[in-house]
Amino acid sequence: MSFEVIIGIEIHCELKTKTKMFSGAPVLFGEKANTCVNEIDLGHPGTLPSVNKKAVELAIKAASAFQCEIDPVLRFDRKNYYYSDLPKGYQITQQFYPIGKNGQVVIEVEGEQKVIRIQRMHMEEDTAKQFHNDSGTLIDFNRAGTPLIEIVSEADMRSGKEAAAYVEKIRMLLDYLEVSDVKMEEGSMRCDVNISLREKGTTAFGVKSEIKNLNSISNVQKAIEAEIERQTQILLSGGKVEQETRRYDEALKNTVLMRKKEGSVDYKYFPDPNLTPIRVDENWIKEIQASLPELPDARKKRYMNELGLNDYDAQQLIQNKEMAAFYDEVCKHCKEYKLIANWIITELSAALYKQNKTMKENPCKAEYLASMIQMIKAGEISSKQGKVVFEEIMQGKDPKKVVEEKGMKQMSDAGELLSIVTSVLDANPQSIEDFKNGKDRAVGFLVGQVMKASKGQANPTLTNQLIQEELKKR
Amino acid sequence: MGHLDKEYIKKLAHQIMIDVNDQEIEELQTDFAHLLSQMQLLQEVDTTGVEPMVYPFEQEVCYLREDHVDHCITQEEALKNVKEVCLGHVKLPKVVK
Repeated sequence: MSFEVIIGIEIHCELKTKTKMFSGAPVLFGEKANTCVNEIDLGHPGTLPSVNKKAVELAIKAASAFQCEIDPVLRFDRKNYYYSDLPKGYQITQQFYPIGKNGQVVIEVEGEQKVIRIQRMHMEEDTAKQFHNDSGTLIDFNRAGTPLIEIVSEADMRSGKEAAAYVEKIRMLLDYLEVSDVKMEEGSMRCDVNISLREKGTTAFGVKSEIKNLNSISNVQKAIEAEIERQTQILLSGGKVEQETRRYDEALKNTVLMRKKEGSVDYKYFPDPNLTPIRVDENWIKEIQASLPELPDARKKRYMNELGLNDYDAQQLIQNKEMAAFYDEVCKHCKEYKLIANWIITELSAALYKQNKTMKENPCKAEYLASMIQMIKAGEISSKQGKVVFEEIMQGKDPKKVVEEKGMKQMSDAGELLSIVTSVLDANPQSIEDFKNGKDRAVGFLVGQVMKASKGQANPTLTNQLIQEELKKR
Repeated sequence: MGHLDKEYIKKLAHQIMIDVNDQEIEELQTDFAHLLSQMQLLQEVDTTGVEPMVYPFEQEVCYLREDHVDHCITQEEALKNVKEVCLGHVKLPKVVK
């Protein structure tokens, strides 16, 4: 018996605003407990919520990037449940009229593109943060009321890889839009996965389990793969999958039970009487949509079609918004697009990694990298010398000065180089013999000798050419 | 809503975290039965094609609050009504096992 895997994902994402979704208290991280709150966040009697304009703007941005239909009338509902992280006894959300619906994103897995439909995207407020220890539960309300968007996919994914690609795509879009910090490890982006199996060829959905609190994209994939295995084993041994909430245990590399679902909880949703419907100006929506930045797919297309990069390089660059922005900056000063991509993807990434810095803290100036690459292209310095120069650029130095100070100018003068080539050939008769016997390797050896004799300053292309010519003469 | 049996009332009470004894359940059943029968009267009105009305004023508003910090209270004020405080947090009996 073989199974088809059905996966749907809910993503919660904190919006980058200065104040709460429904109150003017600040949204800040790492502050002392219960210092970023006011009466509204604490659910004091007599308080009234008011909707944060910036949060709506960011939600419209996100919904637009997900190609959702946008509802110009904002309506909010109450989701009622009693829990200590929820001071009002209800969460304000958009149950009946989400701000966005019927959207989609395109993912790519193993070279294949696939559309993942987005059922809905709505605005809501975050809950308080709880810390559980042996003596009790501690509550910090600073997070209570932080604006969130929840993105609900259709059950369109069929593997852990597709699910990871989907979460990564959403993360990348929200990052490009600067709508959220999208830090899964810090909880500003959280992901719940619904997963069920059904026998291949059948259409009815199987019983699903929900995996909560996944804190990285690689864990999304690992958790799903472990859960597929677990459900497969149950079904193959004739058992039944039970509807339950599970979490991924990194040490066990498996999902573990959190709680069984006893029927579906009735949240008794109803429209929030404190928030009457708000009509958003359609022109404002259009303005927001017109101001969207270039999104990753468009950027990748531009890199491939206009700058001639291959799929791999383009993908590497767009994966990191800051890296792509830096690439664009360097390209303003130099037209060697492929070379620039190589230097950024390999050398710059490695250097940053070594310095334990992120792309945001990149000390390398775009003009300097551009000017160094131009020197290499013009044959003024070799690629090998380039690596030395690059290390200095990473310290903030101008490459032109570095080349001057280190006396690095590449020897590109044919006359000057020829005399070295001649003396190297004279000193290595065996290599000439080898070359004549068809051993092409001899050329490489001779180029190396010339390099050594010129202290690495010989232009390798020219050296190679001269050696080939001279060998033929002998 | 034809299932106002004891179990259902108990379930509702549990969801809103109140305790009810058998006598109270009986009283609630009587009250609810009365309320529901009154609601039944409304069912007689033909509402075909009528949009449900949620708010007393059907006028749409367009006010959105600007994203500026305008009011924040101190930790001391925030924790004023709290029974037990621990390291600036509200302390509760353990809510998870």
